[in-house]
Amino acid sequence: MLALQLLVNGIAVGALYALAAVGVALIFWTTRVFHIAHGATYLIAAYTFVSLHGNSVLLALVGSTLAAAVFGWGMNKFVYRPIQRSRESFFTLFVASFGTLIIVANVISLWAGSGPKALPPPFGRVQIGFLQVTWVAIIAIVVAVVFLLGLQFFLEKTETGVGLRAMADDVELVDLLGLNRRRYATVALILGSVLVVPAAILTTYVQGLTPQAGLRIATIALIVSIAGGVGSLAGAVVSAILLGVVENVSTLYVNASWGTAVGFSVLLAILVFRPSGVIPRPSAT
Amino acid sequence: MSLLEVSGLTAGYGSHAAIHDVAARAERGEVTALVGHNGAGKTTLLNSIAGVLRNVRGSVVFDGVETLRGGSRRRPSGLAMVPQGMGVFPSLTVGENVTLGVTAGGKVSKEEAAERIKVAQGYLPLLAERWNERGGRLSGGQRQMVSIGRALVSGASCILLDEPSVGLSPKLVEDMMKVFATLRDAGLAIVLVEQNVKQALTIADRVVVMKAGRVIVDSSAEEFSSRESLWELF
Repeated sequence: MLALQLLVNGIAVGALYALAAVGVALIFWTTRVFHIAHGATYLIAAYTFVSLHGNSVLLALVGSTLAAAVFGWGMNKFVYRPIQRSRESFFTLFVASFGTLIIVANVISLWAGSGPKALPPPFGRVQIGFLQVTWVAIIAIVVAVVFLLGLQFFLEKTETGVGLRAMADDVELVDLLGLNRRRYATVALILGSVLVVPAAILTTYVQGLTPQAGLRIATIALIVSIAGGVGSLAGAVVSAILLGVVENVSTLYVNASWGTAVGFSVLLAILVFRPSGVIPRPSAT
Repeated sequence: MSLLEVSGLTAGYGSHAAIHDVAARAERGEVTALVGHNGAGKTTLLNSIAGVLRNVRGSVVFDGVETLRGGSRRRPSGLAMVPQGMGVFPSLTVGENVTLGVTAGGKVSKEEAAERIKVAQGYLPLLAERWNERGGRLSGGQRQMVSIGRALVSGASCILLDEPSVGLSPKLVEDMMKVFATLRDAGLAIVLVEQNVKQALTIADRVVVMKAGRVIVDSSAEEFSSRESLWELF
């Protein structure tokens, strides 16, 4: 019974990881950058939510979503695009992304203090059969499913979504055809950044918030998106759920503080035996 | 006035100029064959006209509008490019690949887009037959047809084709040339980059020969065919 309880908790945690990891994969499609500054987006969204929460939850939701979207847009316009224009390497972009995360985390520390912030748990628990599930876990799973299905619909059915998938296949061809590559990159940065907002808010409700949380979620999102198969959205979702489940279920056998390490070990093992990831993008170039 | 007129065009990659002071033109209802050996600058010329390259000086006038004005490198509306290498997006369906051509051509109504697609399917029946198939599952010839279809649905009046016959069987190339001739007869201007001069001459109205980044011959196909000295260039 405990194992089943942990499994449900793991799926809920994994669902939130999936939202963060899918954002990273989506941004990689269009910029070819491992967007570790995603951790900064997480911090900005979470701290904005915590700051505005006292006034109104709706205002806090809108504010954190806007803040994340503006930050994503700004990263593309003021950091990635100028570097790409001067044809600098993948590593330069990665360092710029990493540097941005460090700067944002430090600025937040100075502004809000480095101590933990917490939000009152909002809804309590619900009994489903013999399982006790928190409403936050249920909301996490439902929100992740809705967002991921919405993303799938956007990518399959809209003109811009098809353009983003084209970018994932072949950025140079997008250029040669005269399609608006810059617009696609902007959309991906904004969309990817907004996807991390529910993860930031719900995780803050469960675990609280410190400026160090940004690096943690960025590392998770990055590793999960690579273990899933670089640029593979389905792979990112599967490996995120896997990490969440292993993290939680492993606490049956090891101390809870080892959960993340055990989860990462499983992803590492997957990469050793299947270097292209859980579900590789078959035709990415 | 020609539909496409290029003059004094110098362009390249970084600080290196790959083409120098190039002048050329393309007319409605004509196929202009752009020929030359590897490294002659044919693809660079095409990329310069299409607004792909940054480092471009000179003049490109398309349909009466100077496209290089103000340092802009946007693709002129009405001009489409079929890049080298059977360029399709492998994870997208044929339908999605083709529809991106409509997007590349600029905003149009749904009805207009559907009409363009219908016309393109008329020229290239394969598009309808394989509409839901992934690009990555197509053969080389089929990919090339999708690439041409994508250019057609953009509403282009001029299509730049960069070595479309590379890697295709002689029969496929022959079929493709027939499609180009049909498009030419429908009034499109076609600029065809080819290494195989004989192949190009089967449909060309004009021949432009490039060597070491410069245009060394610009003549009618008839005149080119009749002058043996020109054949010695190849």
